[in-house]
Amino acid sequence: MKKLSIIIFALCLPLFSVAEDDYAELLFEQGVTAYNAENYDVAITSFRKLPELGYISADLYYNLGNAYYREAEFANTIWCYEKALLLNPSHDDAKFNLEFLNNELFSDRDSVPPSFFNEIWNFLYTLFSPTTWIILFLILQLVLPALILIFFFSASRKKRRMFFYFSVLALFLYLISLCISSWAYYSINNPSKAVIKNLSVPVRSEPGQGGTNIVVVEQANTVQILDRSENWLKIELPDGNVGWILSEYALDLSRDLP
Amino acid sequence: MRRLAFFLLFMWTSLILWSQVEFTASSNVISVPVGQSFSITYLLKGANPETFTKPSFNGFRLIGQQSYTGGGSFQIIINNQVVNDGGGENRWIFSLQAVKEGTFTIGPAKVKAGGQVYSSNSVEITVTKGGNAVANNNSPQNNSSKNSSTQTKNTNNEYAYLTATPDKNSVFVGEPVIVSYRIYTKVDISQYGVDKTESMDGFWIEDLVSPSSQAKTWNETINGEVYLVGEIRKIALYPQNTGTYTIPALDVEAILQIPNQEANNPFDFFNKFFSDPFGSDPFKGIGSTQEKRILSSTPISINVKPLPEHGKPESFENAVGDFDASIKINKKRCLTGEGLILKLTVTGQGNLMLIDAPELEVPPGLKVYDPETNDDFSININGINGIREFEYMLVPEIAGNYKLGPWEFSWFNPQTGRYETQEFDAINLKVAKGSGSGPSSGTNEVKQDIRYIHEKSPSRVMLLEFMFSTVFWIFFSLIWLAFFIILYFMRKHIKLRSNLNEFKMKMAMRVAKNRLKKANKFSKEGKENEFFQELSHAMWLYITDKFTVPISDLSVDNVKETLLSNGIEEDLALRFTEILHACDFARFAPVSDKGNMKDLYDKASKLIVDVQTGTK
Repeated sequence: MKKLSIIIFALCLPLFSVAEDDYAELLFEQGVTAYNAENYDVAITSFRKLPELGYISADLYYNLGNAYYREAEFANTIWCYEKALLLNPSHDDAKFNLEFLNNELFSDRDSVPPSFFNEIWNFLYTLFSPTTWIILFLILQLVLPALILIFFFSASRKKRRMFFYFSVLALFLYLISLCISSWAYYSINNPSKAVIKNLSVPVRSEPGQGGTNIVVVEQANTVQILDRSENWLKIELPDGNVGWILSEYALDLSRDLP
Repeated sequence: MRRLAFFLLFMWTSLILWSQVEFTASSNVISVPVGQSFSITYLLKGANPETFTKPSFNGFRLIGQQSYTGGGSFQIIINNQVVNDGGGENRWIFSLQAVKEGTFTIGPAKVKAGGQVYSSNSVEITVTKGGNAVANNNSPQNNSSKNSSTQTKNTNNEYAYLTATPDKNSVFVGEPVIVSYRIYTKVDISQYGVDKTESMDGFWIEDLVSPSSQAKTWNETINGEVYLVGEIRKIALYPQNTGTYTIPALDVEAILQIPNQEANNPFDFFNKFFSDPFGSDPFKGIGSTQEKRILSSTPISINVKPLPEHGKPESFENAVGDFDASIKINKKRCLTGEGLILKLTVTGQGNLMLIDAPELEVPPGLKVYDPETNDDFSININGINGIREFEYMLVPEIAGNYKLGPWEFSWFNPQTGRYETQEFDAINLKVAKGSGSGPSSGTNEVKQDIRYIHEKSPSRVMLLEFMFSTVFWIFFSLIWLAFFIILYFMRKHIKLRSNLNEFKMKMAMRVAKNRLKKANKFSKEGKENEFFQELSHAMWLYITDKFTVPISDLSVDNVKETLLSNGIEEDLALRFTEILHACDFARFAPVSDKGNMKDLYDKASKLIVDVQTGTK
C-alpha cells in the first residue's frame, strides 16, 4: 500500500509543473483583469508574483510598469520599462512608454548624444528581440556550413559565384547574430543600470564619508552603474557626471524590486 | 513753616540762577507701600559740581548705591540706563526703601559749584501700608509701561533673572501667541547675547523686535526691590497643529557687574575721585566685578485648540486672523489665447504667510495657471499684518460668454471665534475668437497617455538560457567539426574546382593578350624573328594555363590530341596547330614574310577570344 502511494506520487510529479503553468496563467489573467478594472494595486501584486515563479518576460515587466504608472510610482515604472527593454530591446511599446514618461518627468534633461558606432549598434540591437537573434544564429549555424560546402562542390562558374556571395552574406549575418546574442546574454545576466528611488539623492565624489557632494540626482532618473562596492554604486548620470551614491537609494536592475 | 521756608529758598535760588544753573530733585514715585524701594534723583544742569551734600533721608533707608555721574565726554551707564547724557548734566541717584508709614519730606541736597552753593527742592513721599506704588508722571526717568508679568520669582538673592511671558496660554490653530522675554536686573549688565530664533516643531516663528535694535527698558519694583526691566525679545508663534506644546526655555548669557561691598559707601569713591581725578580709571572706582551668568526662562505650556467644525465654510482653507479679501480682473473682454490676470487680495492681521492660494473653479474652455503669490508684510506688536496677493493667469481657449464665479474666501477670526466669508460677485467675461495664433482649442487636443498593456500571457521558454549551455556548445562544435571533416576528405575534389584554377584561367587570357601585344609591337618595328617567337610563346603559355596541361607534355605534334581530349572543338584545335606550325615555319624560313605577320596576329587573337567565349 505504501509502495503504491509512492508510485502514484512519483507519477504525479510532472503534473505539478503543469499545475504551476496553469497557476501562472491564472495570475497573469488576474493581473490583466485587475488592471482593466483599475485595481492597479491588485494588478501589481499579481504581476509581481510571476517572476518569483520563474516567468520572466518583457511583456510581464511592461504590464507591471503600466500598473505602477497608474499608481504614480514613477521610479518603479521606469525600472519596469528598463527591465522590459533589457529583456527585449525591440519592445516598441515599452520604448514608447519609457520615452513618454521621461518626457513627462524630465522635459528639459540634456543627455550625451550617442556616437555613430553606438547608434548603428543600438539600431541592430533593438531591431529584433534577443530570442529572434538567437533563432537567427542557430539557423545560420546550420545554413552557413552548408552554403560553403555547396560553393566548394559546385562545378559551374555561375553556381560557384552565386554560392560564394551567399556564403559571405551568411557569414556576415552569422557573426552579427552571434555578437548580438552574446551581448544580450551578457547584458541580461549583468544589468548595469539603476533607477533612482529617492527624491534628490546626493551624488558624492567618493564612497563613504569622505569626499563632497558633486550634484544631486532627482528621483526616477536612470543611471549607468560603473562599479559596485559594498553599500555604494559608482554611477554615470544621463548628463555624463560620474559619482557615488548609496545603493539603497537606487533600484538596481540586477536585483528585484524591493 | 519750615517747608514754606524751603520753598521760598528754592524759589529764590531758581529765580536768581535760572539762566545759569539748575539743581532739582525728583522721585520716580509719589506714593509707595512700606517695604518697597524707589529712587530719587538730583539733577544739576549748567555747572560743574565741586562738592555735594546729601540730605538726611529721614524715614527711609538708603539701600541702593548712590551714584555720581560726572560731566565731561564719557558716558556712565547704571542699571543699563545711560545716566549721563553729556552736555554738562550731573545726576545723583539714591535708591531708598520706605520703612514706616506716613508722609515724609526729603530735604534739599546742596551742591557747591563755581564757588556758590546751590540747594535743590525737597521731595514729598507718601508711604502707605499696602497697595501699589503710585508713579510720578513727571519723573524724567520713569519711562516704564505698565507691567503685566504673570510669572515672578522670588529673587531677593538674585541679581538678575529672565522671564518668558505669553500673552495667552490657549489659542486656536493659526492664532499667534506673543511671548515676551524680559531680563529683570538689580545690577548693571554690560553685555548679553540672545541666540537666533530657533525653529520649533508645529510653529511658525516671527521675531517682532529686531534683535539689532535697542531693548526697551523700564523700572519695576518687585517685593520692595527696584529692578530694571529690559525686554530683550518678543516673538509671535503661529501654531500649525493642535495639541499641547511646550515652548522650551530661552538661555541668555549675560555679563553682570556685581558691586563690591566697599563700594557701597558712596563717598569713598566720590572723595577718591576728587582727591585724585587722574590717578585711576573712574570706572574701576565704581567697584564692581564682572560675572558671567546664564539666565534661563521657564518653559511655557501652550494649548492649541482645533478650529471649531461648526459653521466651517466650504471655501475655508487655513486663514486665521482678521482679514478682508477682494478680487479683481484686468479686463472683461478679450480674444481667445489672450491672457487675463485675476488678482485675489487678502489684507489684514493673521497667519498671512501660511495662506494657500485657493483653487478657483472656472468654466471649461478657460485655462487657469498656478497663481503667483506676492506679499507685502510688516511686523507690529501683535504679529504679522499686511497684504498677500494671488495672481492667477487665465487663458480662454474657446470664444464665448463666460460667467466666472461666484467665488468666496473665508477665514476664521479668533477674536470673535467665528468663521467669516467674503463673497465675490460673479464676473462676466466676453471672449471673441482670436487670430488663431493662440493655443489649440480644448476640444481637439490630443491627450497623451502610455500605451496599453499586453494581454497575451507570457511564455516561460527563454532561448537565452540555451546560449552558452552545454547543449549549445555540443551543437556548435559538432556542426563545425562535421564541416571541417567533410572539407578534409574531399580536399582533392575541391582543389580541382578551387578558386585558384579559376583564377589561373582568367589570368590566361590576360597573359596571352599581353604576349600578343608585345608581338604586335615587334611586328610594327619589323622585327620578324622576335615577332614569331613571341607569338608562338604566347600561344603555348595560353594553352598550358588554360587547360592546366604541363608544358613538358606538349609538343607541336601532340597539341591537337591534348586539346581535343580537353573538350575543345576540332575546328579550334586545328586553328591552334595551324598557327603554331606557321610560327615555327616562319621562324626558320629564310624569306621574310611581312604580310603574313599581320594575318597571323589577327588569327591568333581571334582564336583566343573564340576559345574564351567557347568555354564559358
